[in-house]
Amino acid sequence: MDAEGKFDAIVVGAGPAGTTAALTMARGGMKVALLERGEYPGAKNVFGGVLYRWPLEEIIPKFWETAPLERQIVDHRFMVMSKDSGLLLSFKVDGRGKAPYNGYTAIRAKFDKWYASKAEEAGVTLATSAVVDDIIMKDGKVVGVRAGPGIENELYADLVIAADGVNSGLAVRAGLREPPSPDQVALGVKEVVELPAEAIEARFNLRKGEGTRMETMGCTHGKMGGGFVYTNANSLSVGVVILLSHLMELKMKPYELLDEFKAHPSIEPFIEGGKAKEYSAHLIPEAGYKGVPRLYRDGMMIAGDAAYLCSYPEGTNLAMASGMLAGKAALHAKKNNDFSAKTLSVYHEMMNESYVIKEMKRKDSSHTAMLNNPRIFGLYPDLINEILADVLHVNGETKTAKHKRAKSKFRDKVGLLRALRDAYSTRGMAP
Amino acid sequence: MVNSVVCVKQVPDVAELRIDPMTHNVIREGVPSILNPDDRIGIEEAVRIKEKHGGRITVLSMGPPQAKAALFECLTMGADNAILLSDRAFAAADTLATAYTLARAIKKYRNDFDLIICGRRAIDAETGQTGIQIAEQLDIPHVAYVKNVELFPEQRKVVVKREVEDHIETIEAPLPILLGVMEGLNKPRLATLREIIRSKNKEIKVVNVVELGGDLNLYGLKGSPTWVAKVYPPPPKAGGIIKSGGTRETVTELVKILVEKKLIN
Amino acid sequence: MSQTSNLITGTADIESWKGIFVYVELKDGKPRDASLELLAAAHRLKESLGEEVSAGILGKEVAGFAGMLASYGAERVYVAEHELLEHFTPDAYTSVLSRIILGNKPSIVLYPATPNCRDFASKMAARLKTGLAADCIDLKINEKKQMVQIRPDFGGKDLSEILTKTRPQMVTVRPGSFTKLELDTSRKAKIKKVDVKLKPEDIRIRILDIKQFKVEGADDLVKSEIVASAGMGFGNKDRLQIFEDFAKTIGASMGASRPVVERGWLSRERQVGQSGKTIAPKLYFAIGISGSVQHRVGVENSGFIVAINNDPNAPIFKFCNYGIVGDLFKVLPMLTEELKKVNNKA
Ligand SMILES: Cc1cc2nc3c(=O)[nH]c(=O)nc-3n(C[C@H](O)[C@H](O)[C@H](O)COP(=O)(O)OP(=O)(O)OC[C@H]3O[C@@H](n4cnc5c(N)ncnc54)[C@H](O)[C@@H]3O)c2cc1C
Ligand SMILES: Cc1cc2nc3c(=O)[nH]c(=O)nc-3n(C[C@H](O)[C@H](O)[C@H](O)COP(=O)(O)OP(=O)(O)OC[C@H]3O[C@@H](n4cnc5c(N)ncnc54)[C@H](O)[C@@H]3O)c2cc1C
Ligand SMILES: Nc1ncnc2c1ncn2[C@@H]1O[C@H](COP(=O)(O)O)[C@@H](O)[C@H]1O
Repeated sequence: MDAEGKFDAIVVGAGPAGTTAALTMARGGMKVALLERGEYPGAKNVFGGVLYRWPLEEIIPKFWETAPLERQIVDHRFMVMSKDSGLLLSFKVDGRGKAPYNGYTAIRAKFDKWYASKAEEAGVTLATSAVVDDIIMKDGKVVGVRAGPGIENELYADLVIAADGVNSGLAVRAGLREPPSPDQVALGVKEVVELPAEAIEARFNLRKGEGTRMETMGCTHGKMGGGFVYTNANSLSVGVVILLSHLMELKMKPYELLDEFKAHPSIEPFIEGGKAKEYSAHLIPEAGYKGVPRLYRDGMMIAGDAAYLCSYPEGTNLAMASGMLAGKAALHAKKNNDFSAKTLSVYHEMMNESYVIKEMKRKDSSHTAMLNNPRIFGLYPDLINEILADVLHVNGETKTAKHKRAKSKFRDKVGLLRALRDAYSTRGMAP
Repeated sequence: MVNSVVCVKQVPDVAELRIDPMTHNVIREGVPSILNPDDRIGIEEAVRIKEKHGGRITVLSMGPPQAKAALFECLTMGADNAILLSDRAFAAADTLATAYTLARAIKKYRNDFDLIICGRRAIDAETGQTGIQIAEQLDIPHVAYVKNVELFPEQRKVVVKREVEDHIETIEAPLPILLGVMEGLNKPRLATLREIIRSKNKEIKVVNVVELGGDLNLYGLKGSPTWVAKVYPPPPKAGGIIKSGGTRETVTELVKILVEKKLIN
Repeated sequence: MSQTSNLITGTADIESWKGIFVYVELKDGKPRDASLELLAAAHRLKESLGEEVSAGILGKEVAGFAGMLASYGAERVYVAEHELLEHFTPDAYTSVLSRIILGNKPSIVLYPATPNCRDFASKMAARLKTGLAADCIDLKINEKKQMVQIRPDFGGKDLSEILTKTRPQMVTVRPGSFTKLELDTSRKAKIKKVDVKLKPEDIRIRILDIKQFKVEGADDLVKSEIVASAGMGFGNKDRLQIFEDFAKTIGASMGASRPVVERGWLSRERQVGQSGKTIAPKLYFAIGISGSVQHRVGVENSGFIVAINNDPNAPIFKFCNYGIVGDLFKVLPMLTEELKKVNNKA
């Protein structure tokens, strides 16, 4: 900071997106301030969560050797549940016990703090307990940010990158997007349940240090959403995600949904005897590719959740990737000493070529369909469970009769054509 | 010029005890730590004095390494430098041993002080003894329960208001002195963005027992004349009626009892 | 720096310290009840120790109180009179009392936990290089003849017993923890006038002015016959409406637990408990309050305690007279309703 309170760039938000952007710029020689409202980075940040190796590995090679990670993910599970039964699919990969793994569970309070410390090592000035409440504009250009009254709360820069998460007050202030509407975001509620490592490994059939990521559907009363259970070192992250507008229709409290989920006979044995350690709630962008706003203007770019660049459960990786590209665009602008929208448009171009936007587009194909299709989150899970229960129940009746009944049930309640159409329309949901 | 030392402690945030929405139990784990509220008032007062009279403010704390966060906060409010006394040897100290440790550090690092400011009490134990015991060990006077401070540096004196129970004393005292400050003295400021950034360059010196020197027998548990011999739940009082369910019948029964006992009319 | 060396000394000649000493604080020109209660506490300790109970009183003209102190149990009274003791100052009081203590070597010194005494006792302990247990609620003697000082533990659920390695063993005791003895004018005490040597320059601070003021606010809390307190069970401030309705219906003053006050749901004067007010109404309601010891010490002398809490294991159920295990959001409105019926009849 010079005497006038000026940096080359200001990044708001020390989450995965902001820290990556700051780190990238500092490595390129820019003087960067990274402003975070929390008492420390990650203090209040929430995710499921699994952290993917890509693209973090590109930013910090061999990060898994030093980062505070919980467990390496070798077991991916998917459960289709009805009110009291569940069909579970499990896929084991990377199970031979060799780093690096493709994904790791992490606790944001620890990870974000560590990650931001890497940015500090690269020369970034990190300021915590710094709540930015506005951008400063001059001649139509973003020239700084404000964190309270008076000049002492103003900071100036050639460039501001807003990485302030899903609500992004700054992107809204800059006119790049609107505040989220209830059908653009899901609410995730999560509880961390403490369990001894041995119990976790026994319950999920894991070796020491290995972890499971489990996603479920059918636990949201037919509304768009699902549940999850992730294994941490000494705890489980258990949560439910539901589209906000659907939650409002349901007229249930989010924790009531989570309560139900935890009590489900297929979930309860995992968490039994565990001690609730913390409870949190957070919004998740669910606006799809169509919802992605304009990513830049004169003197400003946005990245990560702030730009709705999230394709649940992938979020942190997309945030990092976008942060990295924003950082690269900034370095390009710095080289040309021009931070106008025109120069910054290179960010947009790089993003279009990247995995981030491609993944967002793929996901988008199914988004609207799912949004308006109650069969997917209610009827199908129920039907699958009902049919399986019937077929597996041994009571002297022939299997042929049961299969027949299953078919007719399916026909009556859904119809083959409709099912095919649903399957096609939700292909974006496939992992 | 008035040089101040402000003693601050990091304490658990009692207002942050959260309720588990599922079980309605209190979640005490992960309760964040904060700067002790009375100490925040102390640092604010020191900064106001500095703004008026000049001088240098050192904040001093004894505690675990995490207490750096509380010290950093003081720096962002306007303190100049910070010292953290952190060592296993200091752990489990009672107020006398704590005061010994802090007094020794003040002598060693800031013996040019005019003013020492402590909070009236720390909310984790609420003894309110430490500051006064620091003053006695440094052989300087103190005033506790301070609600107003006026400094006269040229005359090397201070005029304070001390509030106890139902009266306020106006007291004149010489410098150097130790003041125990309490709620109502001032309204602590919020740090500004630029001060937060400038504070990145201020020093937080961490001092261990070797560096502090002195008699090892006088620190921590060893140096504490008091010790906790036993901790146990308070005995239950017999004879209470406990009703589960919370039904209408229970409530009417209660009202009946209250009327019978003439507790309500 | 005269005092920082050899702090923990007095452990060698423990045997030579004998007797129980009570510091008598004046309030409004006479010994305050909290000090007289300590004479009763001293007698309880004497039962196990068999040592003399003495009292010390400091002030400008205080000799006249010696008889009264005898009547409340003092067997020996030290009277220290001096112009410069008219008002409490840490310097003068510490200088005089520490000389009395060092001259007579009582093994125990009790102070009431009032603001001035907590100030004073802290300085005394540092001067005498001995321990001071703060704000205790009970005292005992153990088999080793040590004083066991009992106070709420910082955790909130438990009590802790504190021992002191050094002599004298000093403690501030929460007012109301003991009941003073029956006044008995036949009790007599040896009276010892202390030769006070004080010069104005011994007192480093100067009191320029003293102004009395009226304590405003939740005075009613202490005087009220019915008090109802709200705890964290209410979840948030907006949900306190049913509490206010209830309090109004039953004519109760409103109290609160500490976290409720810290969060600003109710004002600070309403805090009940160790660091808030000590109350003893005829009827007390603890609603959504867990009943931590810190809360308990402020309310347990109430005539009749009613608790509403949905956790059957909450400690409040260990000391209430009538407890309802249930959701306060259901129970409290019902209770208000039922009370209204009674009111209407009356
Ligand atoms: C329940 C749940 C489960 C999830 N599971 C996964 C998962 O398993 N894997 C995965 O990859 N992703 C997951 N996600 C998504 C992922 O958390 C986000 O996509 C990711 O955190 C976005 O990163 P970000 O840096 O853009 O924003 P954030 O992580 O939200 O960071 C924004 C930062 O900005 C700060 N900030 C906000 N406003 C201000 C301000 N005004 N001033 C200063 N600072 C400010 C915040 O404190 C925060 O530190 C999950 C999300 C949720 C809610
Ligand atoms: C030095 C020190 C001094 C202190 N001084 C004081 C003091 O003066 N006064 C004081 O009160 N505390 C004091 N405390 C704090 C004390 O230890 C406790 O933390 C505090 O009393 C707890 O307040 P609470 O009972 O309201 O909250 P909690 O302990 O959080 O209890 C809330 C209760 O509400 C119940 N509940 C939740 N939801 C419902 C529902 N829907 N229906 C019914 N019941 C429900 C829960 O089961 C729980 O028992 C002090 C602590 C320290 C360390
Ligand atoms: N560990 C410590 N480090 C620095 N200052 C302390 C410490 N403990 C107590 N103090 C100071 O002493 C005051 C009273 O604390 P206490 O005696 O614990 O109630 C606090 O407000 C602080 O100013």
